[in-house]
Amino acid sequence: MNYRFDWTPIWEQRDLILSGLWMTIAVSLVSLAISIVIGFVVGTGGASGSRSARLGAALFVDTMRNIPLLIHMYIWYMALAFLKLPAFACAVLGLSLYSGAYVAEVVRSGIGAVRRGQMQAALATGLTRIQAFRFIIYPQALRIIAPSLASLFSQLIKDSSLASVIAVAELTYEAGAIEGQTFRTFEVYITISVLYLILVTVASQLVMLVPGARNDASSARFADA
Amino acid sequence: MSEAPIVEIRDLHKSYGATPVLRGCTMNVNRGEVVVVCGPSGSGKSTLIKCVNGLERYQSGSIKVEGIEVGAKDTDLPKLRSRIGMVFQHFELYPHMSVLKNLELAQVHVLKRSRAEAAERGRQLLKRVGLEAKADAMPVDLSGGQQQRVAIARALALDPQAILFDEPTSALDPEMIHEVLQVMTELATEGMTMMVVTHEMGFARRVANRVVFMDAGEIVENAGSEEFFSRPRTPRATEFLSKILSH
Ligand SMILES: Nc1ncnc2c1ncn2[C@@H]1O[C@H](COP(=O)(O)OP(=O)(O)OP(=O)(O)O)[C@@H](O)[C@H]1O
Ligand SMILES: [Mg+2]
Repeated sequence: MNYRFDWTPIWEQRDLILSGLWMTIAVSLVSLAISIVIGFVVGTGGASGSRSARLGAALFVDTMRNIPLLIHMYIWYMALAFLKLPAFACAVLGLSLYSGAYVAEVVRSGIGAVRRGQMQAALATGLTRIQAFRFIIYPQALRIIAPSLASLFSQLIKDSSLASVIAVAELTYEAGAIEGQTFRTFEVYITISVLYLILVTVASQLVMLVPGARNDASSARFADA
Repeated sequence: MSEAPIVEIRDLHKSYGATPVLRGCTMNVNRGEVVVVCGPSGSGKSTLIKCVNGLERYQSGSIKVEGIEVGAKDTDLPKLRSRIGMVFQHFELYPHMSVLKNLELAQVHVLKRSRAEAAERGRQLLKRVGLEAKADAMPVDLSGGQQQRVAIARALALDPQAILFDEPTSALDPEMIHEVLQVMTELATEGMTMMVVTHEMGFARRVANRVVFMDAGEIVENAGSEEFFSRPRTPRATEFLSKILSH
């Protein structure tokens, strides 16, 4: 192969790449925040004693997870067109629902892994159910699920590239644009791959900052506690 | 004594689906009394004691704690529970918090004491159960007996009117049972009201005022402990006692 790498056009388009990078970060962060909220609400419902809450949670999770993300993007873009919502909001909505369903499953399993007696002990001291979740159940569940959350969040960042199909000017979208102008296909996609790699690494390291998540000894001790 | 009982259970019925677990239980726990509840496995002891602080619901009958109906819709359960301590078979200390934090949590968030006040009271109680040196330890680093003493201190931290114990020593190695029973005996001596599910008949004989014997969801005997051990009235209690005392 005789391909000669030429990085100058990429460097000349650095403003576009940077603005795409910021947009990727913005879409990912907002979707991340919303999917965490969705995940904790739905996941807690899925772990609850109430049959209807469990049913509702399962229905949400199965529906949202089983629609391909690409279809999510199109559906919300079309469906919300009459609201004149910006593509950004539609992408965030699709990503949040899709990835929120995965977070919900992880949260549900994390809550299930906390000893049942912990909730009883907390309630017995007069804590309300909400306080018990906040101080006793979630902190323990979070340590258990931190690695799974880290990989879900990495997935979410990569998935945000699909926002390009509804013209959200994020990294992948800008890459396409630059490639169209410069024809430096390899250089463009190598560049954005490296950027995705950096984003994903930073994000998963941040999740592992959850107290105790990185401490193998303590999570092993939790398991048999 | 004319004072109303702290716990008043009347004709309590509970079932899981079609399976009846409690079938018309009636008993009281008076202020300052130690009542031991015993009976074969599956007889409903845990279920009964968990109904008292509303951890389990019941279908009919009534439980009053300090005159308040536990099952009533408008009962403030958190408040009621904060006045009744509970100690579990498997300790249930919060594994992600230090020993002292375990003792502080409900004081701060339920009783609204300041952190400093809660810590002070926590240390006081750790001293009382002989574990002041362990304030900053994590629960997992304590022995079972030590964890259960911390759990008792956690219950005491709310200055409860009574404490419920559900088999507090049956998850412990034999050499640790004594240290926990010791703490419980001291509590009883100081006049704490206690309802204790246990198979420790030595404790029941020495410390309990009354023994309630359950079988198949019914309270079969409810007698002074002296009387229960020397003259059980029913064949079922006699059989239970001979089995449990023979080993
Ligand atoms: N969540 C539940 N669902 C269905 N049945 C239950 C449940 N919890 C307890 N039971 C049943 O209720 C009965 C009474 O249980 P309980 O735990 O109160 O007995 P126990 O006297 O405390 O026994 P043990 O000495 O083994 O602790 C048992 O037959 C048990 O199988
Ligand atoms: Mg039991």
